[in-house]
Amino acid sequence: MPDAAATLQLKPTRDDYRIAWLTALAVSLHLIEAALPSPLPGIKPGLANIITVAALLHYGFAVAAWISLLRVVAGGLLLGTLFSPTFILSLGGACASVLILCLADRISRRRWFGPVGYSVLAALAHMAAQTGVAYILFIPHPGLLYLLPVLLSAALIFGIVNGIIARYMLLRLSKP
Amino acid sequence: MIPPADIPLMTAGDRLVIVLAAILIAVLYAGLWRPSAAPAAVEYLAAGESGRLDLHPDRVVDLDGPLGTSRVQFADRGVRFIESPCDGKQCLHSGWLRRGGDFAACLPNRVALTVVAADRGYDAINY
Repeated sequence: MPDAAATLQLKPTRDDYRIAWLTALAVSLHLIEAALPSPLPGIKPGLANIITVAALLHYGFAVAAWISLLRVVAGGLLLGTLFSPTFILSLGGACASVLILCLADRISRRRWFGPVGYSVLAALAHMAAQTGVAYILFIPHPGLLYLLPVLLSAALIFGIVNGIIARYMLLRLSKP
Repeated sequence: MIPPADIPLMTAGDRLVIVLAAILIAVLYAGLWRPSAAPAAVEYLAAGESGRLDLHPDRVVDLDGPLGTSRVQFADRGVRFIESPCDGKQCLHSGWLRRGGDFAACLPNRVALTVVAADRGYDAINY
């Protein structure tokens, strides 16, 4: 009979290490971005999304969801915004983008969409959810909705750019 | 997993997503950023009598008050006082009234003009 301590031993696989590295990378990008000045509140490149999309295509949806949500929590801890309005906005956006990635993954089975499609979907869902949360919880003023087209335009552009970066990352990741 | 050589820059699905997103954004711009309807009329008050005048066509209208005749000019979808029998001429200095809620009055002659529009705008904004 194996003893209890031995059965609980976890052997991290090569993929586990990669996932940890990718989450760390996503958190770093999240932090760098927080320091960047933004022309309009809410407009950010969303570079951490590159990691989520690449992980989705490389390791599957579950890993991507973990990276995305861990990134928000770890980023919140490091920036000192945990459970603050900023954090809630970030979490709302991340949840929405994870949901739409799940849906797109079910539909596409990684054949219909490439990194650019996933990235654009995630970026739009993130921005739409963030604006929605901001409207419902913080600024219930119709003026906020006037910003929506501008914010979504930015999300579309950054989504395409991030998707292209994610593709390059995938090409490099797939090399032995 | 997709073999590395098989990652195209954009699949047909990607293009579809981008096109649909662009259409959605265009619809949002069109729906949310519609210019507010231009003001169409002016409410006037002259010696206790009130009424409504269209901003169009361009013309000059005389409004009578206790001191005499205040003359107002309609032009270019706006209105202004151009002649007044009063001393202060505050009404003339008010200049053109073009936006919803714009207001000018000649108190001595008891004549007032207000531009009427769906969007009343603001009287004043403070920071």
